[in-house]
Order: sequence, then C-alpha cells, then structure tokens
Amino acid sequence: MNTIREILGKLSTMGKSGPVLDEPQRFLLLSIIIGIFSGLVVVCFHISIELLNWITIHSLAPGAKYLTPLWPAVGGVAAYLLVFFVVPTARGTGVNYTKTAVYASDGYIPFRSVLGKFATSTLSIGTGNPMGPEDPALQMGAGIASLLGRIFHLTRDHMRLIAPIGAAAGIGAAFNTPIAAVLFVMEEVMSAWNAGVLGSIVLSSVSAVVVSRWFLGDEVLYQVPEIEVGDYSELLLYAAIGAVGGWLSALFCRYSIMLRGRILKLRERRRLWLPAVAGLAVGIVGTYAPETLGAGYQVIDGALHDRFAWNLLLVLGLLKLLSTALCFGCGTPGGLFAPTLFVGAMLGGGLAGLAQLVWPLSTSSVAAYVLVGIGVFFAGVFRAPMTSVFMVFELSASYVVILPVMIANTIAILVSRRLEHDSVFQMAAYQDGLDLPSIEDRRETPALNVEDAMQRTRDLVVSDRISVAEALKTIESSDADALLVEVRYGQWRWVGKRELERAKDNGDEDSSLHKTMKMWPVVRTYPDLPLDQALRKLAIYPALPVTSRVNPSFLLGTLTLADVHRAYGITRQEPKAEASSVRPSSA
Amino acid sequence: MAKRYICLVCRNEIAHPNAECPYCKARSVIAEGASPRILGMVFGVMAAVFAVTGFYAKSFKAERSTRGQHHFGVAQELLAEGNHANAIKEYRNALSYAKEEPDYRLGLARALFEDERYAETENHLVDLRSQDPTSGILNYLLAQLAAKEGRLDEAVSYYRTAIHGRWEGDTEDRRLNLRLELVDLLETSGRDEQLAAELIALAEIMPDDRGIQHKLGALMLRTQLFDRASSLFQTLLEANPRDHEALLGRGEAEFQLGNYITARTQYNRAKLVRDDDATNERIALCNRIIELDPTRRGISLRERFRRSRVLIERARAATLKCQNPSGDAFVGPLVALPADLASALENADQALAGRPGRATDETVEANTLTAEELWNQASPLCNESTPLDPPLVHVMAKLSR
Repeated sequence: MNTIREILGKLSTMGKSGPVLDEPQRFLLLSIIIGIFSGLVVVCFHISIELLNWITIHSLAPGAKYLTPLWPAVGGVAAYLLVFFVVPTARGTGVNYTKTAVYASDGYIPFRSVLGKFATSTLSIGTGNPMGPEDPALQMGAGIASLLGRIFHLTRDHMRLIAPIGAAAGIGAAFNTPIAAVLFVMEEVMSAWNAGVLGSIVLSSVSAVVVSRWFLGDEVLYQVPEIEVGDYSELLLYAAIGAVGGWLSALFCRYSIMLRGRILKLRERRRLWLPAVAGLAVGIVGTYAPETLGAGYQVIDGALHDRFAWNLLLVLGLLKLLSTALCFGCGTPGGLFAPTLFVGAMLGGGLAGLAQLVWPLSTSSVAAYVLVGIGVFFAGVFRAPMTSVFMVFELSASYVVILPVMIANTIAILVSRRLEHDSVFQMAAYQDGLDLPSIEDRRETPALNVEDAMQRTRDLVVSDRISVAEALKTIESSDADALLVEVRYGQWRWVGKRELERAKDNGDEDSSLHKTMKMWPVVRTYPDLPLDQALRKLAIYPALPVTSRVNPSFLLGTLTLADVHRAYGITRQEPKAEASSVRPSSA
Repeated sequence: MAKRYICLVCRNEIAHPNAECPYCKARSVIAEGASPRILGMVFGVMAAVFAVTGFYAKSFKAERSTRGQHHFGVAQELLAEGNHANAIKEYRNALSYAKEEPDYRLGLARALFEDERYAETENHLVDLRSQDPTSGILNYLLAQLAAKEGRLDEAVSYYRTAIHGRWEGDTEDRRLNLRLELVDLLETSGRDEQLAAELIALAEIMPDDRGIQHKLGALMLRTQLFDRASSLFQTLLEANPRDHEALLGRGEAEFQLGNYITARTQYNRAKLVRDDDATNERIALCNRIIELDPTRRGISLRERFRRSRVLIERARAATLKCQNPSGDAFVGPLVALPADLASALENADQALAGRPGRATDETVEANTLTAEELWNQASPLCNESTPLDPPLVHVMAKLSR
C-alpha cells in the first residue's frame, strides 16, 4: 500500500529536483486515462444498445412483425422525453456540443450530459431508430475528459484541449478506427491541425480502441472481402459515384436541416411527440425493409459481400436516407455517422451494379464500390476529406482502393460544397444560434506572414558611420520609432528616435553613431514566418531585419509594428519614404 | 497531504492553480501537483469501472454466444432438410450475434452455395480462406464454386490445396475422394496432361473399389499411361481372371506398348468371356502385325528376310499412295519429290530389284532400315484422308521405339 502511495506521490508531486513528470508528460498520462475511461464507457454503451436491440426488435416472434413500428416510436419518444425533462444537455449533435465546449465554455462539459447521451442514445438506437452511436460516443468521451480535467484542476488552456482528446477516444472506441478518429477530431471538432495536441489525441484514441477491443474482441465493424480494382478506365465510374454522392449528400444536408429548422420553430411541447411520429414511420419502413433499422453495420457488411441486388441497394439507401433525415429533423437522439456510411455503401454498390449493366467491362469487385460509396457520402456530408479517406483505408485494410476513394471523395466534396457551402454540423450550429469555426472557414482566411507586411527597402537601415543628424533626418522621414544600424555585414543593432534626439540635444549632432550612441542588439526574422511570431518579437524590438533563409546575412527588408498594422488594415497610411530597391549591404 | 501548486517554468510553489506565477509571470504552464489521493481515487474508479464493464461484457458475450448457437443449430437443421432460404436467414441471424465465428460463416456460405448465390458465397469463402488458407473444406468449396463457374485453373488450384489441406476426421478418405473429383473435373474438361499427373498420384494410393480402379485404368489408357494401366488391369485380373473389361484394358495397354503377342493373348481371353466384333477385330489386327513384324523372336532368318522385304514393299506402296491419294497414275518425275524422299524411294527400289539375295542378319537389318527410312520420309505426307496400312503403322512405330 505504501509502495503504491509512493508511486502515486512521485507521479504527482515534485521531488527535490522537481516533478517526476513535467506538464506535457502529465498531460499525456491524462490522455491515456481519458482514453481508458472513454473506452470503458463506450463498451458499456455498445453493449447496452445491442442488448436493447435484442430485447426489442430481434425478439419479435415471426408472427408479431406488425409490432415493429412501435419500438422505434417508443424508443424515440422515451429518449426525447428524457432529454426534455431530465438531461437537456444531451440535446443536439455531439460534435457541435464538443466544439462549443472548446470554443465557448473553456472545455466545460457537464458530466450529466454524458449520462444523458448514454441513456437517450441507447433508447433511441437500441429500439431501431436509424441513427448511429459514434456521435454520442464522441460527446461522452469529451464529457469524461472534461470531468477528469476538472478533477485534475487543469488550466484553462489545457481544459480547452482536453475535450477533443476525449472526443477522439469516444469515436475511436465506437468505430474501432483510431486513425480516422484522430483525423475526424482534428477536422471536425478542432477545425485545425494542432500539432501540440496531436500526440495526446492519438494516445487517447489508441487507448480507447485497445480497451474496446479488450472487451469486445478484435471484431472489425465490417468483414471487408478481398478487393480488386479493375482497369484504370473505371476511375471514371468512381468519379461518377463521387459526383452523384456529392449531389445526394448536399440534398441530404439541405433538406434534413430544413426539416429540423421548421420543427425547431414549433413550440417545445409540440415537438415532444415528433420523435414518436418519426419512429413510427421508421418502424413502418422497417417492417418491410428491416435492413433500414438501427445503425445498419450488418447490412453494410452484406453489401460488401454482394448480398443484395443493385436495385435493392439503391432502394435501401434511399429509405435510410429519408428515415435518417426525418429522425434527425425531429430530434431523435443519435448520430449521423453510421447512417451516412450506410447510405454511402448502398449508393456505391447500387450505382456500381447499375453501371455494370451498361458497362459490362467493369471488373472491380462490388466491395470496392461499396467502400468508395462509404467514403463519398461521408465526405459530402461532413466535409472531412482526410477522415473519409483514412476511414476507408482502416476499414478495408487495403491500399488497393485508396486511389478511387481519393478521387471520388474529392469530387464529392467539390460537388457538395458547390451546392451547399456548409457541412451538416455547421448548418445545425447556425440553426442553434452558434457560430463555430470550421476548418473550411480557416482555410478561406489564410494567416498572414512576414512577407505580407515587410518593407522591401533599406529606408530604415543606416550605417554606423553616419552622423546623429543624418540618422535623425532618416527616422523623421519614416513613421518608425527606431532605426536599424548595420554595424558589420549581416549584423544589425537598433537605436531609438528618442535617444537620437537626446544626443542632438547634448550637442553630439555631428558625431557618428558608433562613437556617440548606445545601440541594442536585434534578432532576425524571415519572410515565411507567421506575423504572429514576428509580433511577439516586435514586443521586444522596435524594428526587425528580414533576411534570407539561405543567406541570413542578406537583408531582404525591414519590419516594424506600423508595417504589421498596415498588413492587417489597421492603418491605411502609406510609408512616407520612397521605396528604393534593396541592395546587398557592403561589408 | 496538502495540495501544492507548482509553476512548471520556475518550479516555485504558488498559491492558486489558475493564478499568474508571481516569480516568472507564466500563466499557461501552471499546474496543480495533483495529490496522490486524487490520482489514487481516479485509478480506483477506473478499476471499478473496469470490473463492471468486464462483468457486463462477459454476460453480453455469453448471451450473444447462446443466441448465436441457437440460430446456428436451427440453420444446420434447415440446411440438412434442403430449406436453403430459411437456413440462410438463420445463419445470418447467427452471424449477427457473432460475425467472426467461422463456422457460422462457413454454414452461410454452404447454404448460399446450395441456393446458387455464387457471388456472395465466394465473398464469404474468400474471406474465411484469408484467415485460414490451409483449410481443406474452404478450399474444397471454393474449388466447387470455381468449377461451377467454369474457372478451371482456379478450381484445379483450390482442389490441390484442399487435397493437401487440413481436414478433421477421416482425412485419407477425404483426400482420395477429392482426388477422384479432381480427376473427374480434369477428364470432363479435357485437360489430359493435368489428368495424367493426378492419375500418377492416385496410383500410389489406389482405392480398393474395383469400379474406381476400372475407371482409372481407362483414364490411364486415355492419358497414355500404358505401363501403369497394364499393371492396374493385371492387378484386377489377379483378383478376377475373367474380368472382361480388365482383359480388354490390359490388351489395349499391351497393344499400345508394342507387346502384340501379350495383347493378343488378353484379347483372346476376353473373347472367351464375351465374343464381340470389336475384340475379334483387335485380334485380327494383332495377328497381322505379328505376321509382318521382322523383329519377332523365334522366327527363322529366312522368314525374317522375307518379312523385311514385304515391309519395304508395303512402305513403298504406302508412300506412293500418300504422295498421290487420288490413285491416278504417277505422272510426276521423281525429281519433283523432296530430295530425301526421292533418295529413300530409290533405295527401296534398289532393295526390291532383281532376285532376293541371301538371307543374312545384315540384309535383314539393311532392309528394315530402308523400310524405316522410307516410312520416316513418307509419313509426313500422309494425312487422315489417306487410308493407311494399320499393321505397317504399328510395326513401324514399334521399330522406331
């Protein structure tokens, strides 16, 4: 016992030479703990959904199939009532909830929302509603991470990072694809490629997947058969699937969000029964097409194994699309991840079958088209290109299909984006009154670099042999507060306007700078560096020499705070001095 | 233990976790030194959740297994009854509980195969085979599937893997049956070279069944494994000397090997069992060959000499017939013939010109060589439309051997 206490003590407190684990290491350790907890909760979540599914839909006697519509209706309304009266924080999409936590509430996610998501999504998905468990799992992971962050009294900066770490763990455990989970969190939740937190996200995702596999086995979601991709001319077919998938995903986003918007305008009490109505409709469809009920992983598995005819695939895809849009619009708890994959798989397989009728030379296996379809629809709805490609890669464990997937997904995103500017999560966020950042927004507003602000002149650079009067004249002709003095080739120092004026007042007007003035060292900057980094330097130095990376002694220009202001449009004042070409300084 | 907050930049103790460090002014790197109590509590809760999840997962797996086995049992019964459609449903239900259970998937593949849904069958089988490439049953089913779809190369390959693959239970019988199936497939698809290879392998593990032995003997004859066919039929005759089929088979094998006297003996025995025209024709052919053969042992030198001259005459006649199949008078000059053929004909004419010389071993040998040379030059001219002299063909074949 004492030994354990000692170990814990070493892990958490400092010894004589400081803490055993420094802050980044402790953060990584916490990431593993988050991964393990999230994995455990997601395993329970998965089992609960399965058990409820067995008790309800699977246990119906062959003669009692007419009861099928009742279960999704009962599950939907029970889940919604729970959200309405007990856990309102379990409402909405997990991605947006987590993003809100990251960007608006310092990573705070109430643990009650984890319990709420668990219960409501189990009720909804377990009774056959066509939603997926991944999005709730993501929110549960983020909620667990947030709780642990609070327990460990993390700082605000780290609290903001902790929710995405949990989100990756949740989605990784739910979908059994650690890489795709990491990428999805980067693209959808963080909306940025943050190298600082990548290690933690990977660790939590991997530990969650390990826990999930520990308890549920190494079973992958789909048994992907051996894939063959035929002639390269078939890439045209894949491109066509990408275009159709992109178009369909844009329609799905538009109309499901439109329906959601109309329903949100209804009075809250009236909305209570809509999940029941949606569930009833889903159940009626499910009576005739039971494949559309629930998350539908087994149906995708069947499509991969060529179980369905192409026309049946298209019908199933369409029915799932409609029932998912209806449930999503009506607020039935659950995620869009699994239904999106389902629709994509059916679309890919169906279109491949249809194309093979008119183009019998097609030799790729159906599984290849199904996988491409999965990636296409996912990419179109969520606008997460990297995730969509790597997810297919992880699912198929085959490199063969990557090229068609990349082509088709890119086309799908382009088409979908052309028709609908925002992803489904963004549209839902706007509808909920949230303005959350997306990776696409960030891409559209590129960061400014030093080269966008620097003056490509030597107007602020003088030799240390000139007189104080000349230096003053130079500085007065500019809007700068300091000059860069070249003391030797490739070495600059700075001198301030005030010091020059003081020297003039002291009667040293005609003395040269190197004899009279005390000059301060300055650091270089480079044209490709972000302005943010240069600004940090400008807090210390009034002017910076911008030099070439291949020859750091060669001056390309100068940068001052005024230049930065101009680059950001804060001042519209043009530099007073006439621009003169930069000359290499003499030794 | 009291809580201590440490700035991880300067490592000074500070008052509050979210405060700015009074020493180095750092903010974002300040963290609490979590007390062992908190860490211990977290690990404790983790262990508890681990235990609960373990219990939950174990119960879940047990229930899943029970349900899966129930559906699998029902499916097996339905498949045995030939109710393929419902068997497929039940197998799918079983798989929905344990999708990686190979027996369930194999059962589904079998049911799908019986239901002639070959594409899906193959997907499942290929999947399973990728996990267990040496499984006999998987390779066998894939072989059947490939054979059904006319992919013979694949079928043969799968059959061979299945033959050498892993089986449970009565392994040797299974391998034998597979070889026989493969032989059937190769026979029906006319792949005689591969068939011969399989027959050689089968000869080593010859089954006791006489019907199969008869069939294999016939296939050996077809694939020109005459030695092995003769031995096989001999074995059959040792058990039953009046086996008509075996007598004919051995006769044919010996005939093809050039042992015409043994062949005639076998045909004569067959005739005693059952007299038919085909056997009589074979006996007559044997007699004519034996009477023409100058190398036959036990005949006098004079007779050998006579036969060697007859051989030249018949070779010459056959040559002229093949060269001019219409039977018109030979009008073309000899120089129009290929030089070698013209030379061989000239040699034959010289050998036959004038009175026959003395019968010696050398003249017999020389005549035989002349006849052979002429036949070798002439036989390429002969085609199917030219009726040949069958005894001559066989004797020449024997001489060339």
